[in-house]
Amino acid sequence: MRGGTSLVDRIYRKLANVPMWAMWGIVVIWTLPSLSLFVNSFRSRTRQRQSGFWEAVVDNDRAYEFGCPEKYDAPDLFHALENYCVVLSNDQAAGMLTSVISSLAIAVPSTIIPIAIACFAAYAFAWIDFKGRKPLFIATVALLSIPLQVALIPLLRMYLGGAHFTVPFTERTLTLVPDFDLAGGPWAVVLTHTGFAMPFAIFLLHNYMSSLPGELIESARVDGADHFSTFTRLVLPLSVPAIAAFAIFQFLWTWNDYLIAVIMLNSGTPEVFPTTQRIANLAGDFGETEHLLTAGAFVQAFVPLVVFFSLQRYFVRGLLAGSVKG
Amino acid sequence: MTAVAENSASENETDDGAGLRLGDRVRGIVLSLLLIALVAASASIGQLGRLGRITLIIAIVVAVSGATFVALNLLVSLGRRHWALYRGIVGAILGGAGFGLLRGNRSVGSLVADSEYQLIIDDGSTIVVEDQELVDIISSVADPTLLEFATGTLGLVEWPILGALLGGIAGYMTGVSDRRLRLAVPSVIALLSGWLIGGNLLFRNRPDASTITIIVLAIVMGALVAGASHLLGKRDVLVERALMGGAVGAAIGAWLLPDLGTGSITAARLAAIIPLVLLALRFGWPGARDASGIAAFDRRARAVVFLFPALTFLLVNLIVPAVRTIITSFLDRDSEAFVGLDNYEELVTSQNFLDWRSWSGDDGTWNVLTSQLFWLGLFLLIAGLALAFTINWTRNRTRGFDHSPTSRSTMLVGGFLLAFAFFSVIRGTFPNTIWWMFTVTIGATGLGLAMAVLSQRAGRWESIAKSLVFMPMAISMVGASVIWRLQYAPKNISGKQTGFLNAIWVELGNLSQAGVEGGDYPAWPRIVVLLVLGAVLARLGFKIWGAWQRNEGFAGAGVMAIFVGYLFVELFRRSLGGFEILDDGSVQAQTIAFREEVRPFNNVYLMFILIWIQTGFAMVILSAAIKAVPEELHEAARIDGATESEQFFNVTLPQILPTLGVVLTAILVAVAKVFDIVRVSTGGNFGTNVLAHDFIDESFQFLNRGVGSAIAVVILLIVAPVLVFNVYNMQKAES
Repeated sequence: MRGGTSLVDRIYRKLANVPMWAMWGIVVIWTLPSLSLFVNSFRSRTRQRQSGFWEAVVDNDRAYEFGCPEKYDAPDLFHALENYCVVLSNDQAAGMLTSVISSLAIAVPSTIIPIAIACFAAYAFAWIDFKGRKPLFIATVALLSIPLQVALIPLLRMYLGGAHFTVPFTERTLTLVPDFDLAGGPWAVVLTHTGFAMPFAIFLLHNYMSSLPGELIESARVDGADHFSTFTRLVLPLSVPAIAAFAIFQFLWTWNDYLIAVIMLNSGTPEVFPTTQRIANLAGDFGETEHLLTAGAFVQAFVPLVVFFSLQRYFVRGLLAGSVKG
Repeated sequence: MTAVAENSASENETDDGAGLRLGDRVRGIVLSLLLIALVAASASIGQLGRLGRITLIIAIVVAVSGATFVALNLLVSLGRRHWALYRGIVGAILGGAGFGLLRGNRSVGSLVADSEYQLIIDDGSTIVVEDQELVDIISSVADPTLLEFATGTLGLVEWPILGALLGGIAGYMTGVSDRRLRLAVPSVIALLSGWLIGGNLLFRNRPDASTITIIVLAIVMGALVAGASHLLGKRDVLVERALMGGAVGAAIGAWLLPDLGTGSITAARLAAIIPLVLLALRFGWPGARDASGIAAFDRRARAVVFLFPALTFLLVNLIVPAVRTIITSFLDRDSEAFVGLDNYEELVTSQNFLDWRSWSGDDGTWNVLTSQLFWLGLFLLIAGLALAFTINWTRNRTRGFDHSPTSRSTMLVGGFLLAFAFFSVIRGTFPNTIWWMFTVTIGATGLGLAMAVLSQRAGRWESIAKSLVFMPMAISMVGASVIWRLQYAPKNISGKQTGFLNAIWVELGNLSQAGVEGGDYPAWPRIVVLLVLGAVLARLGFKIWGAWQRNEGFAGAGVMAIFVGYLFVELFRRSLGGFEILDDGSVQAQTIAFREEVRPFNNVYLMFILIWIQTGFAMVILSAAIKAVPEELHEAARIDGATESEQFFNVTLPQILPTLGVVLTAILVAVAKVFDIVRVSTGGNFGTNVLAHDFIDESFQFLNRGVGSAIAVVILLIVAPVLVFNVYNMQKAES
């Protein structure tokens, strides 16, 4: 490579730097589709169908249409943008706000409950010395790679009719859990998420908790603290970074989930459908609502993107600590 | 896995892979604004009530669960100081739950059994019978399943209360200091409870148990357990173990072996009493607790309290359903009759699952032989091998197989293309799933690794580049599919293309047709592009030649040269891009329907959506691993004269190998269950179906639970090697 600091040399070096070109190529390809969605979500149906998003920049012919059609009862806040005011309205087909609330009803408890339960278990695996700890932990982590499909249908049947246990060698069936009519509502999804999150959550939090200095826990024990107070006063506060990491991870995962929702909520009313299901249904009916898909998909992605970018540091740390999602 | 954990533990705050960073205050403001917007928006469409209700329910559930956990822990703490009280509370809980379960299942009738019986006949009419003996006579002549006690004076509330009371007293008494009391009182209560349960059992539940069988089984089991614990050296708990074994044996003899529904009331009472009394004795037996006993109790009880919720969820939501799926895969479509392996046979032999028809052409030859991909892959593989065998000889007259990046990467690319060629001729959901796993895993990990390595040189732009590549991780697969369908969808050629892929493709077609007679485009752009490409090609050739002379690797430049050379030749031949020449010689633009038409490679375009999502994941983790490689190693390699690519392959790569394994397995497992992308992009049509999608179709559309479960089991089998690998690694790490 030639040395020298003249302008020509510098430009030549920049141009000849093939790896950099490759990297920025990847970055552009990774960014363009999202950018296209974002730009298109502000363009009218005709614009979206007539030209690519890149023309929105050079297009001075009213690329943005203002004003909301009367029939959509959208919040004043969003009246400026046509697609958004449909998507953020009560519209039967394309209104996303109802499903945003439904998504929250699923994602928030599906984040809080597994964290609590997994914290207990991770502490037990890390610091309580009981028999069978190691094999039990390995068995738990082995469940990481169990595909969800294997468990979904029996789970759905349990939520549909309660849990029953047929006593071996007899014809008698014992009802362990009566039918609470969970299927078709958010709690069926929440319980499913909780179960499926367990292995990863325990693995991640255990990794973190067991890396805390042992002398610290020992000295607390010597001071007469039992496991409960060691857990609540010492380990839990120290584990906040790992808990935050898992919380973000789990929130994104449950907010973006489609498979579990579509199975568990099949029998429910459209009101309980989360955003992903709503978008998938929108994408399913071709033509009429095509232009709303952009705004809808952006609304769907907006919450995770905000969470993601504002809490990215914790999220990355969580990925690094666990780096496996089952 | 632990390697990664250690990496991350040693990671300091400033070095966590990706990050545009926001201050805490900005973060707080952004999140609160989001919350306010949500509340305002839901108020305006009249959903505020629903939002509030949901919030309230979540708060209640969380509070109750938290309170339960704290209460259980307080209970254990109590157990350390007031043993009897602890035993009493636990006994009350267990007794209440047990009696409640019996009553809830209608296993027992009204509590005051001897005064009056209401028999319900199967047509719904009731007979009131007051005489106990009459009941026995009726039950002996009538079909006992037709008879059922109706609710009596004590019902769903009273049974649990009584159970809690009895259990509480019995439990408390097992914890008092006087040994005679410890043994006697709980036994009496067990007797009473057994009397109540046995006397109130519905006819259909009465076991026809012989007392002798129960006692013999109790003794045999007790002796077996005692012998086992003696052999295992648990001599101090010998009696407890024996009593527990006896109780289990008695329960088996009383409830599992005999027929239910034919027994007398006395037999039923004995069947309930004997196991319960043995159980009471087992808990009353142990001597006073010393300090180590208390500590052991604390450990055990805490482990139970801390693990119970998680293990319950794992058992109920994962293990039991998985086992049930495996069982239903051997049952028919309604899960009624056992059909053996029929479901698997139906699945595996269906053309939907595995389709060999494209494997051989009409003349019996392999279809794969007609694929350009196959020949290109074969050529690269052979070229790589040839290079590996000869490079040492031609360079410095030494023999031996070359392991340099140049030959290895050529072979790898060749193998990758060959595999692609084979996947493209074997169709069906099964090969599609494997193809997905193969392509997405390698693609996402490879691109992630490339980004991780390259972004290090980008200086201050590094974090921005990484954040942009990482961003799709936050987008749902449904959203990503919607995003990409906008890019993939072709538009009518009379208008403009709205997806950038087709737009570029059509423009390339215009470019390569530039300057033809009667065309609309001037000739000069094509000439200019050809010149630029030629210049780049010449420069690359010069570089490769120099590298060859200096005994350096030239894999990167070689790949670039092949790519640029391809563009150059195609453009020169005027065959680049999307166009077709009509019969009258005029040129027309041609688009690609990525999702529907280019079969079977439309699969690859769907796979790319997942690669788009997963690359960021691979990049972040690998980037952290690369940064954790000690700088001294690079320093040493540099002193030895290693080039940058040699440093990467010989220093960095071996160091990050464990992390690479984690990334590969994680993506592999995630891909095996991909469903959303196929659902939203093509609905499984156009030959893009995969197992995870077919599973939903079979289970919900064709309502065939047997085959649906079989598909789920096949997916499980596909990822089973990863599972075994993970367990193996864990075991190695733990020991």
